[in-house]
Amino acid sequence: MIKFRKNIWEFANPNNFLSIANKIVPLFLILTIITLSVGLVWGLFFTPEDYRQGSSVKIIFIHVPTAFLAINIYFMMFLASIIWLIRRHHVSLIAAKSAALIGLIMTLSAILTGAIWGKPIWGTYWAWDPRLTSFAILLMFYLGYLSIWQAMKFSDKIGDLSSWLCIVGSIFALLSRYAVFFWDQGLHQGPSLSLDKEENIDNVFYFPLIICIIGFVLLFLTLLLIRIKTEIQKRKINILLNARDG
Amino acid sequence: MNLIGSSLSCKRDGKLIFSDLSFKIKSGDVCFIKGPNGSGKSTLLRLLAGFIKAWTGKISLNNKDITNSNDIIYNNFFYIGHSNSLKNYLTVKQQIDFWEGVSEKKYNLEADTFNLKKILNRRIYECSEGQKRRLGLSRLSIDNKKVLLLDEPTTSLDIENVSRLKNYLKDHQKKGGITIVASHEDFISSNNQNIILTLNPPKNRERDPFI
Amino acid sequence: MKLNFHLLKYELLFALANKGILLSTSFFIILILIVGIGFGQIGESSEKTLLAIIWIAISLSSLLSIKTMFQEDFDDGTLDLYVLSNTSIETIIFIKSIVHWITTNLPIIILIPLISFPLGITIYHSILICLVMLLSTPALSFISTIGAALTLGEKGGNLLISIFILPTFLPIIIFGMKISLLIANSTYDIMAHLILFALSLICIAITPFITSLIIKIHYT
Repeated sequence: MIKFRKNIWEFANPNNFLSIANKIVPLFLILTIITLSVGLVWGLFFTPEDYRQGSSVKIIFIHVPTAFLAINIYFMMFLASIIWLIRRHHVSLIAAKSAALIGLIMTLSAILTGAIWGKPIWGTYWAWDPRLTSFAILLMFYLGYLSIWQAMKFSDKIGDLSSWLCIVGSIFALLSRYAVFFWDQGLHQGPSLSLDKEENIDNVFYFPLIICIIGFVLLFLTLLLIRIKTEIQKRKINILLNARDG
Repeated sequence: MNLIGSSLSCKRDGKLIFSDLSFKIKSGDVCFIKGPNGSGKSTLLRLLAGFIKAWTGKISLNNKDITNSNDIIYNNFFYIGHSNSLKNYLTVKQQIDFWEGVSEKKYNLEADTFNLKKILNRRIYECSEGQKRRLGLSRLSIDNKKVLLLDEPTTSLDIENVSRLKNYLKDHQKKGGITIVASHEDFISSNNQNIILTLNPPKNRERDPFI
Repeated sequence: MKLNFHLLKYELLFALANKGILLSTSFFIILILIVGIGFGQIGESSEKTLLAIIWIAISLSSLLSIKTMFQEDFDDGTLDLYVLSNTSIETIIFIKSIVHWITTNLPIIILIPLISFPLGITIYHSILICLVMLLSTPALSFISTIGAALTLGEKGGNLLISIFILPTFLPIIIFGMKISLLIANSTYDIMAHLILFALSLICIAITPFITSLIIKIHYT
């Protein structure tokens, strides 16, 4: 039974976090499997074909959620880095570190599914279209963030440095995105989902897409929790080894 | 003038190095910091010089807290670390000119405390280690500050120059200044106004959040 | 103010003593020639490709000597001296960035008309592009100080700096290239110039503060 806690910052203690994560990971795993299978089966097999794009439109159920996550994971890393710099909670830093690889994979799969979708529709796998370019930019910043962790040994100092890198990266990723969009709007269709109801895609696609997005977010959370757990346990082992060796 | 530290502790890369350090140093005192390697001698000096902040406790000079006041530190404290802050490709003269500009004061060549007159036109890469250290220490006579913080000042100095440094520090002592030295040797032993500060590793190590 | 000019003078002296100018300009020329020869083999050396090469070459060569910017001072203790001196770290970073620009980017910009003329860019266009670069390359020097601060005390930091910093050059490179393209097409867009200039000024205004925060991390 998860006790109700009076303060969210109590999760910042690695041990509290670990004990809670151990309890909720199975729950998240089950939820992920259910939502993803419902969303994907509904999306891939029970939706009509688009009159223009044919059945290739169905890749939207993977492309849109991964693209959505690719951007938002970077935003999450940005927030986690700020929390680490201000409040110095180790779990926050570890969350940013662990999210980066998942974000990189989401970016890659968004680019890959986009390429597969793009070939029959635009006749090319890749074009230097603003949206595609901004994903290439995002990919570069993920690689930069991951490489600082690769190159240096884990310590609080590297945590600070990587957090600053993430913040600087966010600023320049945004600037680059607007620089790219300043010149043209490109081939890519407009956003599939927006708060403005008029612009949304058709309802037939809308509901399974929402379920898929929820499923992918749950998948991300599950993977993130597992990675954070591993990272905390890795730190624990390191500390114990150091203590043994003196 | 008095320099008081109360229950200081300091962290380096998330680890507690020393804790519960208290001291009281008056005008004319020479304070030696003792302790094994890695016990935080240099860290304590850098803490006093204002590079880093104390984890707990506070330092006050003349009953004014110096932790957040760069002005007090700038006007009273003077720090010379392990390195001599030399640029290899400059001449000794240029190097002194550079320091004079940075500290906005003049070096008194007439006094020539550290016997640099002969090597003024030499390039620094041509100097020996001892000459480099002397040049590094000559910053002492550029900035005349009240509190001197010296990190291993006698490294690679010969006996003659150690005695020069001793004389300089004695003068400083007579003028009522404070000297804090992290060194393995007591090179100013014939004085009863010495304070010895021993750094001990923290007894109850702080609980790591991961354990 | 006197102190700042003193620092500027000596920082210039340090930079000149490190032979950074020779290295970065030779690197620039070699890069341009290599890519030019390479493109020449496939018969593809239009004005547009040359312009793109110049932009990429200038951003790569401005990263060459960036590692020593703080590393040398950090190793020999001069940075300690600066931290304790009567100026802020931000001022020091500002001065260092300006010196870096003067010693790496300015010689390259002066070289561009000389090198681009024989390669087939008209002299009028190359002078216009030099002006655009004069406005925008200071930002490159200022941004790269972030990388230098991030990899302070790290061996083999040069490669890391390229990985961190090249993506952050993108806004400047995108606008610079588009404007160069417009110049090559003999059109003119005042808006683009203004935005490029604004981007450059924003970078100059904010990076010293970010860099000083990162340098302070190395002092805790």
